[in-house]
Amino acid sequence: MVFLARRVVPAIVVLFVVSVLSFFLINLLPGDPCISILGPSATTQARAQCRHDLGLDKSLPARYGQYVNNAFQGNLGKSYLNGQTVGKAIKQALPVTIELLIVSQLIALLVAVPLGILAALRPNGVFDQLSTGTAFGLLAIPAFMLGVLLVYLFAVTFHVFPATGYTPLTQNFGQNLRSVILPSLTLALGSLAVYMRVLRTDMIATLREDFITMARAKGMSTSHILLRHALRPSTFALVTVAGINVGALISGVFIVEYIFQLPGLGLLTLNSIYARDYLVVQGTVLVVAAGFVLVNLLVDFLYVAIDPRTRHARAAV
Amino acid sequence: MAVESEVDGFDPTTNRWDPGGIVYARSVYDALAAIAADGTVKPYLAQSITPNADYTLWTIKLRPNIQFHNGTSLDAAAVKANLDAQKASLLVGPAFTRISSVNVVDPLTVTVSMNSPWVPFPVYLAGQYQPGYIAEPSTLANKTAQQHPIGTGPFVFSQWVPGDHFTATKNPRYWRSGLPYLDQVTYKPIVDFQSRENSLKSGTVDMLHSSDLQNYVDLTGNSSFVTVSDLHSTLEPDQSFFMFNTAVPPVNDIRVRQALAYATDRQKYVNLIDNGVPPQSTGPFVPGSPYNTPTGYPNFDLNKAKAIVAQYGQPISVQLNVVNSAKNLEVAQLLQSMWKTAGIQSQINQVEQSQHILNALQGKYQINQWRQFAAADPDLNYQWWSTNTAQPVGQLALNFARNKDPQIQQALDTGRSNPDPAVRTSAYQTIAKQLGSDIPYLWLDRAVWILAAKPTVMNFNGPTLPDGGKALGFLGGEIWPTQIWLNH
Repeated sequence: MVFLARRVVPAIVVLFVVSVLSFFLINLLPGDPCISILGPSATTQARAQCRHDLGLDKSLPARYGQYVNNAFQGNLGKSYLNGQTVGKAIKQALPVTIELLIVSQLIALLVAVPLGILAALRPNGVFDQLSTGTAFGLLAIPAFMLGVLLVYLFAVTFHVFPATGYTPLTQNFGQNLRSVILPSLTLALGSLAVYMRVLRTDMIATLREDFITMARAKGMSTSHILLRHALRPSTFALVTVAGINVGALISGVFIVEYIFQLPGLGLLTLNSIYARDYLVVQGTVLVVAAGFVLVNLLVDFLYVAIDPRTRHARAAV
Repeated sequence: MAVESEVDGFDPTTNRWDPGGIVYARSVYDALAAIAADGTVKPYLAQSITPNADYTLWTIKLRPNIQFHNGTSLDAAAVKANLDAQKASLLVGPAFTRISSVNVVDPLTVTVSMNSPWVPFPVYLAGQYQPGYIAEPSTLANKTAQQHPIGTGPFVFSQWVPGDHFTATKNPRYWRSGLPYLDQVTYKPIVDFQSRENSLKSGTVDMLHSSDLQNYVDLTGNSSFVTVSDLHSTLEPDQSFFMFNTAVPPVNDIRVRQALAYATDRQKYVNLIDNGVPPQSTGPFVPGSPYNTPTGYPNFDLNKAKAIVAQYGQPISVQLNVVNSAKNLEVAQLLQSMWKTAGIQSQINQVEQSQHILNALQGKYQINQWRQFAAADPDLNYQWWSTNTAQPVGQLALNFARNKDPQIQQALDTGRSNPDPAVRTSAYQTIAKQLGSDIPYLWLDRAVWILAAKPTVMNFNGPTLPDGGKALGFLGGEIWPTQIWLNH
């Protein structure tokens, strides 16, 4: 219970700070949403009326107070531009981004874990050097470049996957998979290289431990030793990195969703920033921050499951 | 179909439609009138639109037996509700300030009274812009049109996920017999030009429209696609130009504006920025337009530019504002380098778009990059060129350049009130010439839109009017989806 409180209270403070900063920083941006809404031919009176209707004629603290009050009641406001509630916009966009993150991380882990294990089996061997070189190559390619290359190859040239757009999972599973493969791959390749390197390093260290020597002495097979004895204690850093990586992936998601025109949180945020749709930007920033905090909380809990020493240490405190 | 941008909703009185928005609107709404292929205005939902002798009263008679998608009838009361809402609208109301009242005469007839003669009034109802599109009145009253449009159009609204797609299905009770041909249309807003092109090439979409000339270069002549562009249209397109604030120094001095115009190599701009596609502009009216005439606008002449700078007698330094994008910065840097060779220093400021517009409105700029003036009739530009809308710096002015020329004002009033085509032509030619000598705008070139489609998409540029005559096809990114069909 104490452990839970120690993790949850700072998370709430982080979210509060994020809401304050996002609200005031976004409102510092130049421009006027009423110009976007009414266009250049609007009269002074029309713009004043528009600002009044949107509540923009009130002071910043008053608007923030109103925003927080409404947010506690589950009301994040309405888009200035299209009248859609922020909650509905996020509800439509969030599943796209979550699916993108999950699929990309699945691809990254499914490829990185076997490669990391194999590379650790014979450090500096041919496979290790080959996979290390490939990993550094993938790390060096930014997401926007990789995305464009994948689109050119698999969409424009070979017509295997769509270049843009998203089909919801509930509408057609096959089409859904086709629409998320390229963007997920774009995100996954960067993560894959990191995960593989981290796991390889930890595996090499683990394989030098006494208990592994003991297992070998008992005549256990290499695959049994790798998968049953060495893998679990080697994933501590991998889980940490994967958790932190979610934050880095968020910025990648913005780029990837723009390149592939996926209607997720990234594209919603970008479009809203361009349109000065403040309430939508605030809503998406808050959700992204909450997601980041939540994932890091989960990682904290995962430590306990993976490494018994952590559990004992916490019990002793 | 991939469109260039997303709309903010479908209420003709509160939402702002760009060409993509007009294409959405033409799917679910119809307009009272339409532009024919020859540029004249023809009735569409209306059976006739006729003026009285002095053009102060227009009578709109509707076609019978037309229903909105919810089954209610299109009648005079519905048209009055729409026109009243548009006149009261903060967004489109400024275009209807000449309307004094709208009255129902009988179930299918309304009259529109003007406070002064207004000859080109029908063009405002012709669906090139948002006034004229008729929404089911209750959707305007209860504000649901923004999210759920109900019109009389060829397709019935089905779903809109902002930023992702808009879908509408065939209207089984459409008043134009046998139309539409398609069972469903889906529009996908794809802002990035390369992603839009990739979507077409990969088969994700069947067609696209674009004002990015890279798409024009990539897709024109590509045998995998059928393309059409409005490059040779003689109706007034948008013009790309830099706008001078004639109320602030140093650009309030005609010599400075002349020097900048002489120092600008427009052909170099066309080649480097716009892929060499559009011709140079010297005024708002393109060759082939009845209003096109030699304007006397300065052609590139570096020696003349240097001579004017020398005559000016003091260093010239100007502030050049562009909207903050990489391409706009490239444009600004090109002009900066041209002007520098003439001895004119410039500082580039990158500004957020709505702030850029606000600066223009308030006159808080010296030179602003701009794109404007597309119009099916030059009267649509009345408010942008009128001396009546050129307010002092600090006050909002729709004549952003604040160019006060009595000859332009007189010609604008003549064009608005005189029905004689020859007199109107002469009036707008006068305006073109005056803009050429006043130089409130540093003309560059015209906007060009392309539409590209798979070969299976048929008849996207052959719309007809209810009387069988040809309607205006692809122009300014706008098409009619009503008569498109697919050849499988």
